[in-house]
Amino acid sequence: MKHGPFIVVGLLLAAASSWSAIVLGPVIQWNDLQPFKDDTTGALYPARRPGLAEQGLEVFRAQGCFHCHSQNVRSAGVSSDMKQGLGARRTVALDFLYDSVVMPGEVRLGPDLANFGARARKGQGVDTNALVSSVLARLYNPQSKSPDSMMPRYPWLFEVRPKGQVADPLALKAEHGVTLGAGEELVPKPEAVALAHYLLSLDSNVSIFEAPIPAPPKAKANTNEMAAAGGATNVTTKP
Amino acid sequence: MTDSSPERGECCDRSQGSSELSPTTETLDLSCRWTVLPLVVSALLWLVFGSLTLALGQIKLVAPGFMAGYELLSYGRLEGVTSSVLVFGFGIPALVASAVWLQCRLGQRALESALGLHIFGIVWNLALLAGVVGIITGDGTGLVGFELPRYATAPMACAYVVGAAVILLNVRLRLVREMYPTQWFLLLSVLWFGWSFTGAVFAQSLTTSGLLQYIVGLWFRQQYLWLTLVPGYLAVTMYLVPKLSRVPLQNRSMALIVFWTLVFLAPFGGIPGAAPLPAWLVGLGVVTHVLLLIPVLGLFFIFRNSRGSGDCPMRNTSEGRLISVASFFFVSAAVLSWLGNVTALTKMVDSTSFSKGVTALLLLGAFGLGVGALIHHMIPRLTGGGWANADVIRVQGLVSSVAVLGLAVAFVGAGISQGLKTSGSSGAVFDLVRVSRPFFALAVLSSLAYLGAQLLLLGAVVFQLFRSVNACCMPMISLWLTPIGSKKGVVRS
Repeated sequence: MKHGPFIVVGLLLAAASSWSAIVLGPVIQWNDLQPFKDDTTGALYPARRPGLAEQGLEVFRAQGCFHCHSQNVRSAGVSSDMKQGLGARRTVALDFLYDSVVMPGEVRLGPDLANFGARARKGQGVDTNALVSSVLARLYNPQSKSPDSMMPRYPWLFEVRPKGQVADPLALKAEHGVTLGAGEELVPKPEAVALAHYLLSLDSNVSIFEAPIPAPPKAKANTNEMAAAGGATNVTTKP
Repeated sequence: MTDSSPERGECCDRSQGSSELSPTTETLDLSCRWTVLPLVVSALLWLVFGSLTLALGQIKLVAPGFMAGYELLSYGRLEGVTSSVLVFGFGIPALVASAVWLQCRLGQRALESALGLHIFGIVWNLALLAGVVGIITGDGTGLVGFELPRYATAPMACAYVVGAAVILLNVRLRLVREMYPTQWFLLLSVLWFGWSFTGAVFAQSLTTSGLLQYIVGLWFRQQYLWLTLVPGYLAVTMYLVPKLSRVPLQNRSMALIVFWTLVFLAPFGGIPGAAPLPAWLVGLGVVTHVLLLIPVLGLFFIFRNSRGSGDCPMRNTSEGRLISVASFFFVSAAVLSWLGNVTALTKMVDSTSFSKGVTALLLLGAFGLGVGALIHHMIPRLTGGGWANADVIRVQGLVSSVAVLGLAVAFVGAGISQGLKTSGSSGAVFDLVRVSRPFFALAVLSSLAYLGAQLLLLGAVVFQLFRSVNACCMPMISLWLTPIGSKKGVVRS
């Protein structure tokens, strides 16, 4: 090749086609991306996050949590995420429709958080203060609940202050490895509370058009029985 | 069909008798000395800083309590700083420095408009510093591999345009019209980074959609890895291998195939297999990774045929050994990337540290060692004398190579062990931690060794620079300091 312009034109062509395919393609495809409307309940998914959770998303970004925690339940064909209970269906672009920053993550050194809120409510009930306190305790001292955890502590999201007449309901207790002087309490800063609310808002267990929740095992068995009865397959069913 | 550039021909001719550093090459080197050296030193400073943050991050994975009270040094922020510093602090200035020197040598024309490159160096480094401070204080974008905040990337893009314009001007003014393969790849690196970087910065400033920013981030990461840093490594390889082995490049047609297949295939990859994106996009990435083996195979044949046989002279130089190791790492990265994308291994290694291993092989292995080899070769020529201590340089190359191998083994091994643990239905996260810990310990040792090696290189380059300044300026300074009466005496004598 003697001529620079020949190379430049070729490169420009390749760059333009790559930009068109990888960036413009999804933009065109997502142009009419709208929340999914459940015909039976009329509910829209996803809903915009409440203000505090929206602030928590920014704290999640600023602290770089996405370097260890993914928010991406992979499909049953390529992983065992659903078997492990990380979510009822695979994660899709629609799940991030209203997020100002999309952080599905690429390395999973800690638990996947795509349905953290759903899992927390399932395990610990629906008392918001209790759920937030539980998340805050984990942020302050992850090893207090899971000694093997490699998650770092986030003490800068908390502050020590003198106890008021009424104790702060979110103040951490001694069982979380807190050592304080008399008349002091360890309370979360607003960023910590926002982060906890964001994590608890993570729940994508909603069946949507592009990623329906697979039928539960019982329903599957019924389908198999019907198929066996019709002679369409040789699946054996329990008598 | 072989290829012998004028500069290479000149080298081969001179190797038969006279010195390589003829007045012509000296003039060429002198024209770019004070442009290239500051860029190389700044790149090495960032490389040392990036190696330090890499080591700190790896220590935190093994010992989460290490410096746990400092928000600025949390693992999440260190990771963002490390990737940004290694790519934008080390990678791009090192690439620009290499491009300037190689273009002067191959184009046989002294550097023109060096001021533009000085402006690039100053603005780029200051903006990057602001960006790194931004990430440490929590202003990162949240996009893996492109975390620099916008207030840093915008001036960086402007600075790059100025720097790239100077390089293009020098390509245009070259005296040797026929372009050598090294120049093709340099042109590819310089132009492609300019387009993709300014495009990504522009797109990010135009949209508030998180989804679009995410896809732009993924796209841009693939572009700077495979179409900026990889061509940079290929340019250095195609320059150094024939030069050191004294065998003409074998051959130009194969280099042409490598060039165009890379240009038309690589830009379409980089989409992680399990990303929550349209399936056709993920499929496109998989096809790309299969086809990318074509340029890799091409490079393998070029390298094998051009390095000479038997008592290969390449083996006797530190840069020859480094470029061989860099090529091994490049082929390994391509094969691992293929395995991780298109085989049964995909299910296992997705969302694990495996991809970090491939990135380490490309960034620190192929590009880092490749450019390291060029620095070993270029600095003595630019400073006008051999290395003060060649053993130090030899040890630096060896430790760097071993450290990169250690990092790659650690990340890939951790990825496979994590995948094996989580591919079952009951893979618990804390089991995953337990199986990964020995690999992360290896990563700590390797990153510390890498840091040590880069400190050694920085020290050697700074010493070489100091020696050069000393040799050049001390006679003048001593003349100034001599009393006037005796100065006359000196003149008279």
